[in-house]
Amino acid sequence: MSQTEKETPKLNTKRLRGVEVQFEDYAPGLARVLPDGVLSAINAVFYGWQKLGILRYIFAGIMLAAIALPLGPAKDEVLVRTGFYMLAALGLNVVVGLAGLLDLGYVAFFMIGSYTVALFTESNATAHPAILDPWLILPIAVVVAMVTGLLLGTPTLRLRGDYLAIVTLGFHEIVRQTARNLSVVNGSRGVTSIPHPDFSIFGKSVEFGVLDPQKYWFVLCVFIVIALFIVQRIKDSRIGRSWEAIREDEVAASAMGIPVVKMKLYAFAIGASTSGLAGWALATKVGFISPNNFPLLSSILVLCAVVIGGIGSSLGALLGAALVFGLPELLRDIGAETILGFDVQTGRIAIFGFLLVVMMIFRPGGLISSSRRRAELSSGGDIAADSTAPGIPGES
Amino acid sequence: MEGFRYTLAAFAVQSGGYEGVNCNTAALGDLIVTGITLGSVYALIALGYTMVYGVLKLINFAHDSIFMIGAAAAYYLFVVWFGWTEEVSGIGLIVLTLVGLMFSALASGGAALTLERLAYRPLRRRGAARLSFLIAAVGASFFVTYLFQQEFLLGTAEHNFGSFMPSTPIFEVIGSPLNRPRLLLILGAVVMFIVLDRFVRTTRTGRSIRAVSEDIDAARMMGVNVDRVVATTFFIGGFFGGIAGFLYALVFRKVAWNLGFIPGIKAFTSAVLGGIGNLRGAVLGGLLLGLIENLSTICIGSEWRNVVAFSVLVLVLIFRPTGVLGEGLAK
Amino acid sequence: MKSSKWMALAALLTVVALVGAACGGDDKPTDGTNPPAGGGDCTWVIGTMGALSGDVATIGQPIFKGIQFGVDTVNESGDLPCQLQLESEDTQGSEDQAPPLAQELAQNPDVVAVVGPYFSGETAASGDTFAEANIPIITPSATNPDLSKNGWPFFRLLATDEASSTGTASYLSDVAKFSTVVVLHDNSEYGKALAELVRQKVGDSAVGDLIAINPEEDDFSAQISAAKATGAEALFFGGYEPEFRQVIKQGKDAGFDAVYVSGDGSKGTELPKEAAAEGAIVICPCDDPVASANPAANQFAKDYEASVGEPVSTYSIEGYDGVQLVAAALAAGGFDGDTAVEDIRAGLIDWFHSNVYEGLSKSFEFDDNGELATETVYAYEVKNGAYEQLGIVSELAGQ
Repeated sequence: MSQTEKETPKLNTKRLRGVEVQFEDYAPGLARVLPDGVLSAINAVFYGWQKLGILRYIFAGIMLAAIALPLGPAKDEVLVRTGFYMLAALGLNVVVGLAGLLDLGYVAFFMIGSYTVALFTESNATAHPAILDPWLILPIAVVVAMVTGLLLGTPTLRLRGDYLAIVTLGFHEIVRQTARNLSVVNGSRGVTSIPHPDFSIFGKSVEFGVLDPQKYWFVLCVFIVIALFIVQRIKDSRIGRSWEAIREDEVAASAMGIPVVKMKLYAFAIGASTSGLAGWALATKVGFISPNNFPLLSSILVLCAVVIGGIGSSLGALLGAALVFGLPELLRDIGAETILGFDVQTGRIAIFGFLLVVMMIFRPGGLISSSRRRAELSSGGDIAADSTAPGIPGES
Repeated sequence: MEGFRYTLAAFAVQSGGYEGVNCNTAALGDLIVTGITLGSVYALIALGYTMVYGVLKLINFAHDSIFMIGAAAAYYLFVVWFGWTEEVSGIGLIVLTLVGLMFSALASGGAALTLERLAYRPLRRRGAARLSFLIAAVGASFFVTYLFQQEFLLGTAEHNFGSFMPSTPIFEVIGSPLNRPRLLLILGAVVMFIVLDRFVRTTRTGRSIRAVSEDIDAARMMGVNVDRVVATTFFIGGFFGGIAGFLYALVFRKVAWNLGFIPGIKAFTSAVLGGIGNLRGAVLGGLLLGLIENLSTICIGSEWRNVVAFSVLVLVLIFRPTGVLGEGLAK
Repeated sequence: MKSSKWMALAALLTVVALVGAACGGDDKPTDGTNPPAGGGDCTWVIGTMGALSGDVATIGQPIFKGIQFGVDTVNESGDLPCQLQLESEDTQGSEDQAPPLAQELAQNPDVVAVVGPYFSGETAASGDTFAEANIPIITPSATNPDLSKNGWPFFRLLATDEASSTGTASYLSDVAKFSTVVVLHDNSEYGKALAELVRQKVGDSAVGDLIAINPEEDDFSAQISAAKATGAEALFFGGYEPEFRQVIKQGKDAGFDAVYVSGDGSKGTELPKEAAAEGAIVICPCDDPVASANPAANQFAKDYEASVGEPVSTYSIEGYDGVQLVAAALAAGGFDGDTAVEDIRAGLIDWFHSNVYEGLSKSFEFDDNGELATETVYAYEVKNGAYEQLGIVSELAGQ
C-alpha cells in the first residue's frame, strides 16, 4: 500500500505511447482490485477511445444526447436543468482547476449572459438596444460575459488567492443587486417572455416549446462538446502548461518568463464566456429570469460540482454537476423527499457543504482526479507556493 | 447606424430610471445613529474574521454561520426551552441579558472550536494548500447554515425573539431615539473591543497569539503550543460572533436560519476595509462601512446601498489591498 | 490509498444509481402517500403552487389549507365520477422557484386545473408554461392587475390591486383623513405595483420619494430614516408580512409614530401577534368568513376550523371556492375517466367563461380576461392580537 502511495505523484512510466490516460489514472484503487483481464479490456477501450482523435468528441456528444431519448419529458427536464450547470462547471473548472484561481462569483457571468438575452430579444424588459434573433445573440452573450470577465480580472488578478475569492464574491453581489435595481430589466421582478431559440433550416422550422425539453438537451450537448473540445485542446497547449506552472509555483513561473497575469486572464475569459453561454441557454429555455435565480449559493454550488467531481478534470466537472444539480431532482422525482430527516432539496446544500470539507481532508482531488492535481492539493504547493511548514498555508 | 445610435441613447436614458442626483439631508441624524448601530454589528463580527486571519492567514468563511449560531442559541434558550416572552425590567433584565449573552457567546465559541478541531486542524496537519482551506471553509459555512435550515432545527420560517427586553426608546442622540437593544449593541462593541485589545496586548496568551501571527515556526521553536493558540483564537472569534448574534437578534427581534449571511459578508468587507488581521482595523472598518452604507442613501436611492458597500470593497482591494490601517495582529 | 478505492467505487455506484433512477422511475406515481379514498377508480389532479414553507408561509399555508379542505369536501361528497387529488408544489414564495415547478405540474398528464399560484411574482413567472399546456390558472390570491393581460387561461377569484389601491387611497384620504402619506415597497411584482398605484391615487397627500426596501436584508434603517424625515401621518407599505413586521418594528424603534398601513400581502397570521403592530391597518379585497353576512361563509369558517384545527385565515375561503368552482365545472361538463385531459382542460376554460358560479366568498362571473366584475375591498385593524374588520371601504368612505 505505502509503496503505491508514494508512486501517485510521479508520472506513470508504464503508460502506452500516445495514450493520455489509463483507467488507473482515474481510479487507481479500483484498478488494483480488478482482475488483470478486466483491466486490460478497460484499458483497451481507453486506448481505442483515445485513438479516435477528434471523432471521440462527436461520439461523446451523440452518447450524451442519446441519454434523453428513452426518458420522458419530466426526466428530460431534469437533464436540461442539470445541463446548464454542467456547461458552467466545465468553464469554472478552467478557472479553479486549471489556473488555480478561486472564483466565488462565477455565476455572475452566467447572469450577464442571461440578461444579455433578455435585453436583445422581444422580452418584457422595458427597453431594448436592439431586437435580434436568439441565435444572433448567442455570440453577443458570450462576448459580453467574456469582456466583463476581462474587466473584472484585469485589476484583480494581481491579488492574492483569498482576496480574489472575496472580490469575485463581491462582484457577484454587485451584479445581482444592480439587476435587482435596474428598472430596464424590471428589477427584482425579473424578465418574462424571453423567446425560445426557434430556427429554420433548409426550409424546415424547428420549434422549441416549453413542454418538450429534449431539443434543449441536444443543443446543450453540442455546447458541452464544443466547450470540452476547446478546454482539452487548451489544456494541452502552451497556455495549459503555463497554468500548470502558475499553479505549482507562481513566483517560479513568472521568473521563467511566463506572463502570469495574462495567462490568468485567459483562464478567466474562457470561464466567463462558458458561463455566459450557459446563461444564454438558460434564458432561452426557461423564458424567465430574475435576480433571485442567481443567488450567491448557485456560484457556490457550481464550485461544489467542480470540487466534488474532481478539481482540474473536465470529466469530473461534468460528473460533479450531474451529482450536485441532477441527483437531488431525481431523488425527489422518485419520491424521496427527505433522507435521514434532511429535505433533499434544501438539505443537499448542507450535505454538499459537508462533502466539501470531507473531500478537502481526505480526497482533495475529487471523484475523478488527475494524479498531478491530487498531489498538488494535498501538499501545500498550490496558491501558497512556498509553504513548507507542516502547519500553516504560507503567504505567497 | 444613425438609428442604432439613437436607440442606444434612448436605452441609456430609460435603463436606469435615473432621476438625477437629489441629496436630502433631512434624515442625517438618524442615518448617523443607525449607521453606527449597524457598524457595531459589523465590527463585532469582523473581530472574529480578523483574529483567525491574524494567526492562520485564512479567511474563515464559516464565521457567518458561527454568528448565526449565537442568535439561534439565544432563541433556543429563551423561546424554545424556557418560553420567556413577557417583558422584564430592572435587575431581572440585567440578569437575563447577561445569561443570554454568555450562553450565545459560549455556544458560538464552542461551535468555532469544534469547527477548528474537525475541519481545519486535519488540514493544517497535512499542510494542505490554501485553496483547500478556502474550499473547506466555504463548505463548512454552507453545511452549518443549511443544517439550521432543516425543520428539525430552525426551519425556513423566521422566529420572533427578544420580547423580554422593552423596545421603547430611552433617550435621543442627535434627534434619533435609541432603545435598550441598540444601546447595548453599541456599548457592547466598544467594551468588547477594549477587552480584546487589552487581552491580546497584555496577557500571556495574547503574547502567544501575537507570536504565532508573526512567525508560526519561530513561535513553535520558542515553545509556544501552536495548536492551543489556534484553538484559543477560534474560540475568541466565535465568542465575539456569538455576542454579536445575540445582540443582532435582540435589535431586529427575529431569529432565522439565514440571519448570518448578509451581516457576515458585510463584516468581512469591514475587516478587509480596515485592514484584515488588525483588531483596530476591524472596528474602524465596521463603523466606516455602516456609515458609508447609510450615508450613501442621502444622495443615492437606498436600494443601491449594497452595491455601494461591495463596490467599496472591490475598490479598496484594488487600490489598497491591505486596508486602511494595514494588516497584522502583531502591530 | 484505501480511501481512493472506496471513493472510486462510490463514484461508480452513484453513476449506476443515477442512470438507474433516470431510466427506472419514468412513470412517476402522481399520488403521493394518500391513495384516493374510495369513489371512482379514476383520478383528476388539481395542481397548486405557492409558499408552503419559508418566511411567507404564513400567507401561503392558510390558502393551501383552504384548497386542501375543498378537495377533501368534494371527495367526501362523491359528486364527481373521478376522485380529485391535490398535487402541491412549494415555491417558498419566490418567483425563481416557480418555472420548474410549473413545468412539473404542466407535464403531469392528470392535471386538469391549477388553483394557484398564490403570489403575483410566481404567477408571472409560470403563466406561460400553464398557458402552453392550456391548463386553467385559477388564482385565489395573486392580485397584480397586469396578470390577466397576457392571454393566458387565467381566472382571478378576487379583486385586483387596481381595486385594492383605490380602496386603500380612499381609506387613507377619505376615511382616516391623513393629509400626508409616505409609501414604501419591497420591489416585488406585487408590492411595487401596489405601492405605485396607491401613491398615484392618494395624489397630493403623497410625500417624499417612493422608497424601496430589500427583503433579503434585515436592516431597513436608511429607508425608515428617509420615511421618518417626511414626517408623514401614515406609512403605506406594499409587500409581504415579514417585511411589514420589520418595517413597523424598526419604524417604531426609530420613533416614527405614523399609522402603518399595508395590503393583503401583509394579512398573514403572524402580524397580529406582533406587539408593535397594534393599530396597524390592512386593506384587503377579502371578506372575513366569520364576520360575513353570508351564513354559508360562517358555516365554512366553523367547518374549516373543525377540520384543519386552526381558525380560518386570509384567502382560505378563496382557495376553497377555487376547488369548488373546478368541481362544479367538472360535474357540469359531464366528463369521466375516459375523457382526454386536453378536452377537460378546454371544457373547464369554456365553462368558466360562460357560467356564473355562486361561491361562498362571492359570486364568480368572469369577463374575457378572467377578471371578476365585483371588486369589494375591506379594511381591517390589528386590535388585541387579532384582525378586526372595520368594514367595506367604499361604505366607510360614504358615511
